[in-house]
Amino acid sequence: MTGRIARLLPSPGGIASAALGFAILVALWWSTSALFHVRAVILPSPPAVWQALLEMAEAGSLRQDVLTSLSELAWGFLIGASAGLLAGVALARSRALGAFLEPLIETFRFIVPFSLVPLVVVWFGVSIAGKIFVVGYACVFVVAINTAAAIQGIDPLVLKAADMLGVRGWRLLLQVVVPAALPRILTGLQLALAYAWVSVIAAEYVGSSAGLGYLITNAQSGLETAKVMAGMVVIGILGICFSQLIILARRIAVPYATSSGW
Amino acid sequence: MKRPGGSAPAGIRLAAVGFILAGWVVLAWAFHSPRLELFPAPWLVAVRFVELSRTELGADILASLGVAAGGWALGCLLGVALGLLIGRVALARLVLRPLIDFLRFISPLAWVPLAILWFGIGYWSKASIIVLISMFTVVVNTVQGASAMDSETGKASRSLRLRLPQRMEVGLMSAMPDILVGLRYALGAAWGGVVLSELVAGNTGLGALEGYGGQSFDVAQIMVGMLTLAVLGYVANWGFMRLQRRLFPWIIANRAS
Repeated sequence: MTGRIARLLPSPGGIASAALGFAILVALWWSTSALFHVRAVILPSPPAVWQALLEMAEAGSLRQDVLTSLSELAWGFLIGASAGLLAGVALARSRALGAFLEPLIETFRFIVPFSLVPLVVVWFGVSIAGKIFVVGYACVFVVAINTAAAIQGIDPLVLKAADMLGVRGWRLLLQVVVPAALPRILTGLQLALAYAWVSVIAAEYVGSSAGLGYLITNAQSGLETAKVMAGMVVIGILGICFSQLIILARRIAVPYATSSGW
Repeated sequence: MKRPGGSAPAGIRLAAVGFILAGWVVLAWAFHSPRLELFPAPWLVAVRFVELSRTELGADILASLGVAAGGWALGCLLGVALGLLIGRVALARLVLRPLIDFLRFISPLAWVPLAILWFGIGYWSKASIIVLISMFTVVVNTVQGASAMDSETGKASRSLRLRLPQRMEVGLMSAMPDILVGLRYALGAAWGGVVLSELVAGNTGLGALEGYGGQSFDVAQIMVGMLTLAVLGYVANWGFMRLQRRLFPWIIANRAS
């Protein structure tokens, strides 16, 4: 019987599956808070959280927090991913540069990005520059390592065939190297975007004056649990949007690469 | 990241290490100020390290390790159990997989304020975050391993008439390479979670050490925290690989890198 139901279920890892999970969670949550009369400071009911969300949206503070977090994400991801792409190409294509960069990456990779948070608060204060620094730092290594692996992993036969057909220079790069390496590079970017979004929230916990991370810690110190959960829902929904964006980009850019859920 | 063309020239590697140290010294010199040391030189950080190691560093390291180890172990146990359940039992897959698909998008780190509200500032407000981080990482990898079990292995264990515990062992071992990758990723991610939750909810631990350093503009203390965390993270990763090679020598070491 379960086999027949399983065929009706959305594919794992997709947005439909996540929506179903959300429905299950809300049902569990609602029944727990209604049946056991949990105090609102521990577990507010879903309508209370919805109410808190509406209040913040009407006051305009939610919009400001979301915009702050998004601009930190955009700048941090842009800077970190570009640096990572350049470093990855250098690692893969140049022996000397690669030998120079590899120990650098292997050293700095182990410095936890979140351990930079107090440092950037001292350096940059509450401005978004420090958050961008942390977010960029969290992205750069995963992009560099995946890009290097993607370029090194190109089938040498493909390169030999291109060479035999007289494809060189820019045409080799654009028509052979990029299409062959792009799926793995996109995997790196996908991971980096997820890391970046986590780091935005994490960097806003300490020493900031706006953003979704600030919103939930601030609400926590005021014991406004409904606001905390509303903020978490916004963080989750934006996270789903980003991952769908990358999946869409993947489908457009590399329709030939197969991908699967878990 | 091994290049097929032999090992990298040792001179260039040495130059990279020299570059890090020289860059640090130059930056420290450029930002030097007698009133507020924003970028302390390596030797100042070394002095601060010795000072701190005489007072609170040891206790902070132990506190951080306790949170990380406890949360990681519990999260991994839950993750493997849930993962095997989802991978092998259809009913569990129907209910649990969508739930995890949704919860995965709310980063475990976004639970920190809620964990503080639920558990107060203490061991469990931090360890529960590590449990979440490790669990989500391990579940996904375990499901991959458990559902990709070789059908020949399944047939062989049936034709040998293995009993249930033995069949469970076969399932666990065939999923083991993927599980171990998940466990190792979880170890790295958990370490990040420890720092962050100690920064927010901490009165002890390396994250709290950094937090106090930040509050008193003591950059050298922050850097001691950063470097200690990096070294411990490196040692944990290295130790995990050693242990994996000893316990499961049949797993090709390359897969993990």
